[in-house]
Amino acid sequence: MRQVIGILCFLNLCVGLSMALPLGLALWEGEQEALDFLKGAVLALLVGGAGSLWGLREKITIGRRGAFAIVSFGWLTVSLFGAVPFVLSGVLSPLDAFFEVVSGFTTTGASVIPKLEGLPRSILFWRSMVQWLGGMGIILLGVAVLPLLGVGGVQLYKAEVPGPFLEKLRPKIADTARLLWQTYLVITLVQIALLAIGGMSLFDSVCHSLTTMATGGFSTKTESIAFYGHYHRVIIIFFMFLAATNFSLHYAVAKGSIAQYWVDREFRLYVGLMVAFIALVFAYLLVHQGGQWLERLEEACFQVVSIMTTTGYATADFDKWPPVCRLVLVLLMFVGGCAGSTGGGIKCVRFLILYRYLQGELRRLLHPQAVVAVKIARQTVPQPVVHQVLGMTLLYLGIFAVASGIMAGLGLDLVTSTSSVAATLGNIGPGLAQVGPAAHYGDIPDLGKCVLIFCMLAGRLEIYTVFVLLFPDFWKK
Amino acid sequence: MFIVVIGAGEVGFNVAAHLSREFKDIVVIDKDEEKLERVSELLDVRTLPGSGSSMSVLRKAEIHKADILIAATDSDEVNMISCLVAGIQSRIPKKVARIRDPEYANSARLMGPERLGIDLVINTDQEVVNSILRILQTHRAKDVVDLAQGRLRMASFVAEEDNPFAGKRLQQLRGVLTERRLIVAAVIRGERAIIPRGDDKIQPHDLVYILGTPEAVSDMFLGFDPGNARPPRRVMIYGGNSLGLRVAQALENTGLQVWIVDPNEERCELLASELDNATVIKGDLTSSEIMKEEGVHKLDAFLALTSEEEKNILVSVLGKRMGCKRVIALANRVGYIPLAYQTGVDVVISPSLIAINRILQYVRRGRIANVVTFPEGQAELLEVEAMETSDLVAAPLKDLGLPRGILVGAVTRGEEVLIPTGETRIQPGDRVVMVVASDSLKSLEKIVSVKLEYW
Repeated sequence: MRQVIGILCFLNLCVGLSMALPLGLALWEGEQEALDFLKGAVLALLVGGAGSLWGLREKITIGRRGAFAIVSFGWLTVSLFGAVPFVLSGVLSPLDAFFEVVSGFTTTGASVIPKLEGLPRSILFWRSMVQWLGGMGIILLGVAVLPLLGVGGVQLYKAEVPGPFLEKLRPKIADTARLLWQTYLVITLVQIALLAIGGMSLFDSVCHSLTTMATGGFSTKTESIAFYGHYHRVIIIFFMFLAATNFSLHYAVAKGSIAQYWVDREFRLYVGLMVAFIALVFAYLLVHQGGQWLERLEEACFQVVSIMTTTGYATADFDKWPPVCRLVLVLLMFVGGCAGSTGGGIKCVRFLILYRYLQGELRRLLHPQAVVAVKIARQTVPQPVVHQVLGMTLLYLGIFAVASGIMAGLGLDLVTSTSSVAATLGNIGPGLAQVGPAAHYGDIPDLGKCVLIFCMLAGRLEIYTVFVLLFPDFWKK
Repeated sequence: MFIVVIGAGEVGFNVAAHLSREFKDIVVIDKDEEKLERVSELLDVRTLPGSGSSMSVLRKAEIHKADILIAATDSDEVNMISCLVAGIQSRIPKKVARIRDPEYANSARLMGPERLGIDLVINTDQEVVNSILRILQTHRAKDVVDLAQGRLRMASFVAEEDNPFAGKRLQQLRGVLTERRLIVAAVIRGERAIIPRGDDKIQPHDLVYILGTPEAVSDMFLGFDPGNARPPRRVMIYGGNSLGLRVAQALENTGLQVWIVDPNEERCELLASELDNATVIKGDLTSSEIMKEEGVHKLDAFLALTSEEEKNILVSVLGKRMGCKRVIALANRVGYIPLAYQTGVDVVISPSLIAINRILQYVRRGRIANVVTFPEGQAELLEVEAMETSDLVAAPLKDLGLPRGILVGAVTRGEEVLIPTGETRIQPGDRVVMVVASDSLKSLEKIVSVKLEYW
């Protein structure tokens, strides 16, 4: 218990430290928000520091229970502290600020702010920064910098990093976490350079790179990426694509050869689905709206990649697209990116496992005595993993149904209530109708915002980690 | 340092546990995914399902980067093939293999660089025999280990209420101990290992480790109850497998009267032809009637050495209850050792613990000559050479300010053995026996200025 609080406080200490960057920016720009960041940082540092000193004096031993508690409550408290500057600066009300920051950390990118221009740059930067921290995972950052965790780190890793398998790049979990963060950092820096070369201002390049690599989708412009030209759009498409690919795979490629990508079955499915849906949307757009085909292709590419990678940038108001295209986008919200990436959704590898499982079930109907193994790339997926995948998918859809029901009960129309839940549960951001790419989440009733906050956290932590806390057995000694 | 461990059994698991506590990079390979599950649940190491003798599995484990390969599966053949295959893929790793069959283990040509290329063969049977002999000779001891080429001995006993040590602070004992040139090296209380200091008190039922010259240690144990103490004469062995046979032969050679019991008729015939004086009995000692019939109550010692550890412990408990003076049980699983002591078994011998000690000793080769891990795994005894650059030689021991958790137990200087006091000053070139709590291993590295790795 004491250690759990200690680690929670340590995470907030990290958040407090990272506020130094927007604080520096505010001082540089001479913005009065500097004081708000200073207050926020001092608060997080005081609470975090005192708690860490108190809780982390002994050797750390955390079990599964502790790991689930740390991850779930870690994300909650980190969001609370992260919201402080927004509230102090008077930009947002407390609930709106919490919504915005949860949306940031979970890399959803759903915003309650109607107009971004005119906001202080330090606030805009903090929004992007929060997404970047949440992208690779705030807990994983803790595992990387807190060497004492040992095997407890493995439990934390499993509870936070998306995907059905535990992939260790190095024998020690802290080294694995460090490598993942390094890979993440390097790709982000490359993107910043490429965007800046194309003429985007340095500030905007940094902010957009932070949110692209996190598959977050916060922009510094109300128009989102539609503000920028073709060069920047293409660069961003490419990096969104990278961000929703398994980072272990990036590391393997960096160490080995580019062919490593294609060996991975999940990657193949990810690319295949993406290409197929781009083609479909492109064809429909061309027939329905006409115009220059290259422009239509870019539009289709950008929107499909943005939604499937769960980033949520937009260069077109896809809410005005023909129904089939809108439906495709909603369905893609459920698919999401690859395991071990910063993307959300159910993840491609789970669909692969589900597909193989159903194949096996059908075979069993024909041959009741058959012994069927669920296999991916000649490797058998262990039964418990298959069951976990089935369970998670069911829970995911269950949450979707219940939460949409609540949203509709609050008086929202059908499209808004379902798409807002799909877009937050999958950590995408913009949905359709009232929460479409040209609109924002500010007008959702307060209760609805709370439901969506829950959806964002549950979606980012892949359901189980949050749900296990709601299970009465968890609290029994 | 990067280490590949094959086999997640008793030995593999515990070796990985010890080394991962020192922040080494470890990969554990095993066919049994459930065992691996346990490993990844409890240790911060990478696990890899598959056979350790498979080329592709070893490649996946990045054997070419490994410094050491430890083959510790239950099968001699798998261990040997793993070393062979690893040797084909990479010349770098040192190879350690556990091999039980003496025919393989003693063949230097088979193990040599021309053939399998195994750098260290761990054959625990011989060491089990030696340690049984030592324990039988040391009255009341739980465990006896020889150090510094036999010039030092460490033995443990339980401080029962009537024991002269029980309830005393070490300061009070200091006079007696210094006079006899002995030192209390460690105290195990429940599941905790304590590296003692002057103000620590020995409580009843603590397991106390005493270090000194072999004669001094034996004398002290004899002194516990002079009336009853006499060397054993009548010993019974239960279990006529190859280990039982070797123990029986060794005991015969020291002139003891030996009974050996085995339920299998053919095995008994073999035993009878291999042994000269021992009485071979066909039977199963699982009920008190049979025990009585075979005269277990008249024995000086009863050894249960079958391959079934649970049976060994139960039969020993039964033998103790029947009135046998001393019962010794063989138990592979390290976790059973404290349990067995609680049920009243006098001595538990664990071949895996011996194998673990040997492997750790090898991994930390170089300036560290010997390693003994204590049963609960929270403390280790190390034999270290004092370097000129080391903090150890800077001042007399009492001025060194050694942290709690590190104790200098003995010093050997050439042929001479010193049991240190606060005034003792260590000289460069001395070999120092130190007892260290596991979490102080890191600070020990600094003090002795020796990396606990060998390159």
